Amino acid sequence: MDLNAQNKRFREEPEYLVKRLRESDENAFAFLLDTYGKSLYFYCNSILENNTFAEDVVQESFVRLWERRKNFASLLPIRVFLYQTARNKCLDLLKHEQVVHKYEADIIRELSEDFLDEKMIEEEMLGQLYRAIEELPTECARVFKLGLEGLSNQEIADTLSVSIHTVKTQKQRAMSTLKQRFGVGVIFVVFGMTDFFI
Amino acid sequence: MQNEKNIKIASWIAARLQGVISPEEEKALDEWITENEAHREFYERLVDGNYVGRRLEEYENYSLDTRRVLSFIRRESRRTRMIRWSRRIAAILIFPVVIGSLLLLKEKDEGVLNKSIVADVLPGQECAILEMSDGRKVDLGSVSGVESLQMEGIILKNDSNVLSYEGGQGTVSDSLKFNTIIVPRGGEYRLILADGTRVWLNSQTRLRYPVKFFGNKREVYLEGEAYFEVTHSGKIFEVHCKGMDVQVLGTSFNIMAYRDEPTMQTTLVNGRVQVNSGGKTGTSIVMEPGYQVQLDTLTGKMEMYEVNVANFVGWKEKLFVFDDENMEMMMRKLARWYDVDIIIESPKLKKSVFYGVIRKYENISKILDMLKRTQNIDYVIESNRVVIKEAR
Repeated sequence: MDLNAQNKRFREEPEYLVKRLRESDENAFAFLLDTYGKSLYFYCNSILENNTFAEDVVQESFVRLWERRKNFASLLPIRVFLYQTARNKCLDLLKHEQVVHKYEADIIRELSEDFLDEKMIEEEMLGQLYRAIEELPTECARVFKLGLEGLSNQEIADTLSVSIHTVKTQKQRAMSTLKQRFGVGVIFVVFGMTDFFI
Repeated sequence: MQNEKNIKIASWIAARLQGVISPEEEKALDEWITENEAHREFYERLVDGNYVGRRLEEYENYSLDTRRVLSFIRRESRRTRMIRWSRRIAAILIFPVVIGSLLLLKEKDEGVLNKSIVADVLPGQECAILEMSDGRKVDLGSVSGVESLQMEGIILKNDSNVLSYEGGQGTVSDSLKFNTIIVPRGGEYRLILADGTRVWLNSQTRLRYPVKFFGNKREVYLEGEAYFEVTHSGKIFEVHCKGMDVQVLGTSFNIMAYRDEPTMQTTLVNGRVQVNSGGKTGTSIVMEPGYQVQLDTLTGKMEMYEVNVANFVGWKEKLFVFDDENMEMMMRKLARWYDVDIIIESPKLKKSVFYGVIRKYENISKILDMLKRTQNIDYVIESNRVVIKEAR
């Protein structure tokens, strides 16, 4: 199976993706890294405010996932695991930094649970949007993105120098693609939740 | 379980922004938003059109460097595969012993030696030719050659087959003298340069070097493959290859620069080296131990990878180390050491990949038989030509 076809299958069948990861398939792991790596990076960066450290934490978290790959039965726990591991590592790192710079008061930042939860929701949400747009055809994606930014159809048409009719068609195309895909997404979230509680 | 809730909330918000949210999700999301003022504020900040646009831009522009973690994972899973392979090798090694003893018993019984003659190729050996500055060529394997070398103040350590210039009585006029050591196909040799630098030379390799180093740079010229242990003397040691230079102070590294390979590889064991690509678009990379720089000889592009160094210097320990090596490259290595032409008949086989460690000082049939038992291949040896085909 070529890589594109396989990645498509990974995207559409989370159970298959998780099964392949359990079987130590490097491609399944690479797919997870590609899909969830960015959100995780931005999440870490919002906590650490340091790109190098943030990248290190992402790498370490994924290595931990690989070490535990046999333990996962569905996708949602994997995503939770990545955020949880990254969060712990970030907090450890900050604690260490603060010990090192004990007397530089300004470096000590209070990180409340609420702050961490908000950041997680934010990056996870953006990651989902980003992936949805990435999979749309280019023209479609451009229209859709401007729509997200709050531009009216007329404004989008002006920005892209196309007719308002084109904007409407592209929007419809985007919607039908997204609806189709989202159907699968909802199923896997529900699926993941249920068997996490068993 | 807050983290799962967070992921759900994120999914609902993403779904609403995309216009694909279901009524139940909409209800759950609105409940969460109205739970308290903080949620409402956060939500409104998050779905602001300008903010989302700006953040998505950030997502587009950022790309996570996944190479490090991927190479770590690959190495890990390769290690487990290696263990499986060595088990297979052990099984293979036992098999011929059993068959061999059965044959011996049979021969004894019949009292007749009815051996079928199977063509085989012997491994290479330690041999080299030295080309002097005046053009004279000396076979380092012959006694008369050795005597003439001693006249020149070069020491040949006969017991260990090492050619040594160390401690030679040099004069300034020697700085003009360059020697070239030529290791043919099917050979390997060792050399100690005037500054004490030790060099291991692989098959089909030429190294040109001054009899004595003068000036503020130590420069040698390489074609083929060599492993260097450069002594620290404060002067830069520079290896020139076609289209690439490697500069070091004191350090150990391997260079593979064969004409018939698509890339030149510099692998650093310890110390620090700088690799410069030649030509108009010349660039430089400073390497750290555990890394390899590959220079594409066609495009001149250089790239650095983290590698398992032992795989690339195994040859000087008299081993073939194949780690994720494709058939074509592997056969080029065998061809140089056994001095044969190897033809791979099937294009599919050319791309197949191998793992394994094999001793170099064995007949070629031993290696090919191993492959035959673990891979879908068959082979024929015709004097100095080996044809590899797919097994039927």
